[in-house]
Amino acid sequence: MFALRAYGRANKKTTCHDKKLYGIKRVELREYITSEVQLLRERKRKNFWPYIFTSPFLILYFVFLLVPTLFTIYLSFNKWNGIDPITFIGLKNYIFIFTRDPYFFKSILNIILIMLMYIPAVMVLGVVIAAAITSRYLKWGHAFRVISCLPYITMSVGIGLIFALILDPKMGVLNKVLLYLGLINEEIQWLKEPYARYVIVVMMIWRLLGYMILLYSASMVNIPVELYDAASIDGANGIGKFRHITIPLVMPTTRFLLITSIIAGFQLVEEPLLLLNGWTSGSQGGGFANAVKSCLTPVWYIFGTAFGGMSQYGTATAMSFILFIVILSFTMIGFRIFKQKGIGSNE
Amino acid sequence: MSNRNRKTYLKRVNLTISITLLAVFISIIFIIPFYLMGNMATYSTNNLYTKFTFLPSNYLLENLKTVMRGMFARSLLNSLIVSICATFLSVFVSALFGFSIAKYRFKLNKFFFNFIIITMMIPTSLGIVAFVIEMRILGMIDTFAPLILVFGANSYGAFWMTQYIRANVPTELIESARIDGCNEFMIFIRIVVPLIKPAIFTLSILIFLWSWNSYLLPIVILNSQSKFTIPITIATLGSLYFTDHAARVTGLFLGIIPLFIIFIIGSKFFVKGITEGAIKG
Repeated sequence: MFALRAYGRANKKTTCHDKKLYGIKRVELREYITSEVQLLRERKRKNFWPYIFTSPFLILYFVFLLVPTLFTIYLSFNKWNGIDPITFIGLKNYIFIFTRDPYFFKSILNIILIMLMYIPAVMVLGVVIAAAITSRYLKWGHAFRVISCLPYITMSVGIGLIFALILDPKMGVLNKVLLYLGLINEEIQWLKEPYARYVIVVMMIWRLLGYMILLYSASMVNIPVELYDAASIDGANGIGKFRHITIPLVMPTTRFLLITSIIAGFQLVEEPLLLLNGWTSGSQGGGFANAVKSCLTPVWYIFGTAFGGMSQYGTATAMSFILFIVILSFTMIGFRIFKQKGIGSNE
Repeated sequence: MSNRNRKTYLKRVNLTISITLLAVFISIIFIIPFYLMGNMATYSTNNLYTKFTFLPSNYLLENLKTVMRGMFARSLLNSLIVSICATFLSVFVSALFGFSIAKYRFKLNKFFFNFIIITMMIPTSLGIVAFVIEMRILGMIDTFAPLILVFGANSYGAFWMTQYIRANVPTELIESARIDGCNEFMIFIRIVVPLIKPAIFTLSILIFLWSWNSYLLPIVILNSQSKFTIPITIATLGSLYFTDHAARVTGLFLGIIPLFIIFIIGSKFFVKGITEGAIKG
């Protein structure tokens, strides 16, 4: 608009005396104005487009994620079993969980213990194996990566069942092999109290190791070879290079993997559920009555509370909210430890 | 060959052999459970307990027949429908969202971008109880709609598309198409989509995997057996074939194998997809 005004002023000054020239300029001016107006109109119309383009996502997000989240918070202050009217009971759900609920905090402790065992193991193994296979000594690196990813792409339901199958005391292969080798005298109940937790740890390591190897090797490929060459000239050996070059340079990947593993780990449910419950009873809907209590995970327990017959939606949603706070604080601690911008940093 | 060269050569050979052996050993560990499962599927229930060895038997076809008589083919079809629809919807919605955030200047641009970053960190499975209740109110229980539509609101995909389009779609190209009189939506279809094909492919793979493998959501949304997806069918094998253990194993085998075949055929893209998906995120 300023340009237009300036143009007009300049036009008047220079062309008023020359009639012929004035005429021509006038036509040009008219053209200019119409084009400018059109441009403005178009710009306004274009301002609509981004809103139209973003609306499908926002509508779906609102309906399928935001409303449930808000509804969760609302329900956590109410008593409801799905049939009777919703009654407001204030903080009673939370008080119940903190004082009298037998298993919720136990389940959080369980999952933290299990994570403390499998996350460090899988990350250390992952970085070491990735370093070995990204070196130029392995020919079939791609084939290896594909094979190691098979457990990761398998549905978690399947993972639980395969392990239940192998560890089944009567039918399972493991007991048979151990008996055949004479290492044990009688069948071991792998899925009962002292062993079950470690079975889950082994299962999770087996499931996630390929993913860790894949991501670590992807980030190791990007480390410039010159760094290693320079270190070699300085007389560093393989282990030294691994410690002082590889480990620091894959730190962003470590950070990402650690934080996402913790978030995913807290929500672990399908693998233990199917491992301990699926094969024998074939139960669905997440009942936890006959579960091994040292393996009860928070989401499993929440599911059982909500859909396992009692329909205590208020208590279950309050647990969800507490778990959300727990996960959030662990994520924040994770970010704080690494003291860098988070997953979503814009660089 | 000089002595020194010989020494380094030997060292290299040694390393090659030991690393290859390590890789083979780890590969075996990864494969063995699957092999055992496939192997068990070739035994009849009686022999499963008594005559089981590490070599396959000859009962696979019988077991397959038993399983196929049930609802297995149906749930495979259901899973395919849900996963393909979810993939299309999610990729389309994410790409549109990413395009508008990356290439338009509008008031809420920054706000929307921060919004998806924050929502990415909210664990989605925690709202599931309320989600199910909401679906009950909306009358979407026992339909595929919630299982598909929930993937449309994938903030991870939206974030990733934003970043990809920002980096890989030149603004000049969009400008010139606009001057040529191209409609904004056609710009998206004709110019942007061809340019972000790799991202579309990768995201499709990830969404397909997530949708195909998801269990918690379907099990609380779907009630009737004719609508079950593969993970639920697998999880309920125990009650389906109460006495026929061999049929259970075969069902499990059948549920897992299709994805394996797809994965191995497209392994190059899959591996790339999983890697990029994580690194970019």
